[in-house]
Amino acid sequence: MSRDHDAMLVHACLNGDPTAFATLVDRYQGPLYNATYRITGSVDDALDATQAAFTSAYEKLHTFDPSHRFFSWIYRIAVNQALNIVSRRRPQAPLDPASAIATDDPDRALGEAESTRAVHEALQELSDIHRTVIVLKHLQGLSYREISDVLDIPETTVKSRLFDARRRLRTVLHEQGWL
Amino acid sequence: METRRLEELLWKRVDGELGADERRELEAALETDTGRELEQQVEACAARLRSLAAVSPPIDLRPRFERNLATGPPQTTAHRARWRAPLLALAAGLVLGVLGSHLVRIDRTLTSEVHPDQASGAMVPITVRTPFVAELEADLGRLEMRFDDGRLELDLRVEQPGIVTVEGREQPRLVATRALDATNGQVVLTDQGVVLNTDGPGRWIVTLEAAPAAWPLRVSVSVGGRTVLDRTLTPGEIRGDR
Repeated sequence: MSRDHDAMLVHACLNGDPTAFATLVDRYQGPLYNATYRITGSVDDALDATQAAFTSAYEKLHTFDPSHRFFSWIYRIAVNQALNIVSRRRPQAPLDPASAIATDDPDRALGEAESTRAVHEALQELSDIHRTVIVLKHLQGLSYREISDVLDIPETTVKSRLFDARRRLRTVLHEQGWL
Repeated sequence: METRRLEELLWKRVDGELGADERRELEAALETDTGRELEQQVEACAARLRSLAAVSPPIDLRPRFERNLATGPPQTTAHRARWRAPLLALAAGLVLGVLGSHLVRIDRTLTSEVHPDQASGAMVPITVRTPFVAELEADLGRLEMRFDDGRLELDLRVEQPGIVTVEGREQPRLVATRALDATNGQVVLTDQGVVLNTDGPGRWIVTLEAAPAAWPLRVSVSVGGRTVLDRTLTPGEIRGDR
């Protein structure tokens, strides 16, 4: 049902309905913001990535193929935006976890437990592709098939990548004494 | 069993994808201390991931996005054609009441923020003369239609979920939607018209632009699957200047 609804909204937008895309923004801003936050590790970068994803999707809306899911399409754009931000940031000074937490950590702002922040930081120690696949699976709740669509990789690759990512995350958390 | 295989099975169990043979294989492996230790770690790791709370996006994310937009999305005839078949099928389904909620959420705030006329000022007022008013059969509601300066405003009040279809020779352009004392509804554009599908009782106002070539317009309303209004109207009838 949601797939049809999204398709209708895209069509309405292409036909000049100014409210249609805003409805799509309302629907997906939460999931995309959360995904990009966990991928980039920064609320500012998450905001930039989410905004850029919606802007890019809006400008390229005419290229969207309605035989595919809008959900996968917008997720793919957002994930790519987040990964681009991370890759641009990397040559610069490494992120200082202490300062990042102090100024840029909703988990702390929400009063979450120290262990929750530890998981967030452990995620940042993974490679981009490992972090991304864990975010999509465990935080966004996507199926292997949906992750395959979003990342445009075979399902078998999703499974092997996810296994390596989880194993790495478990090791990091274990070494830090959280498991 | 190799540690790698054991961990693979443990994560498959977390995902709920463990087969019967794999479950037996895993249970046997969990008899060992190594197996139990790894099981504890995998379960704890999965629990840690589940504990990560969702973070809320900034409340101004959408307004920021809207400010960033300078132009509308480009489109071509070819792209329109690609959309036509699936959209016609979907629209037909909606008219039959098959589709559910949330196609286009009608929201006062949303409308007020993205109304195209607001780029240069306030919403264009509609001069109300004597509108076309139809009391729906069986006291199921009321439809008022006002038309002036090329703009057609439909004001629908229904006691039950209803569907309004406005069809002309050309597709009217959707200008704005508003929900008053209502939860939400959906608007679907088809090649010939506009379909408003309300999710429940309430009042909805839909503003369209109907070019002269679009007239006359056929307006039909169904409530609870029953057609309670079906009229073909000219601009004069709606303005009340017959």
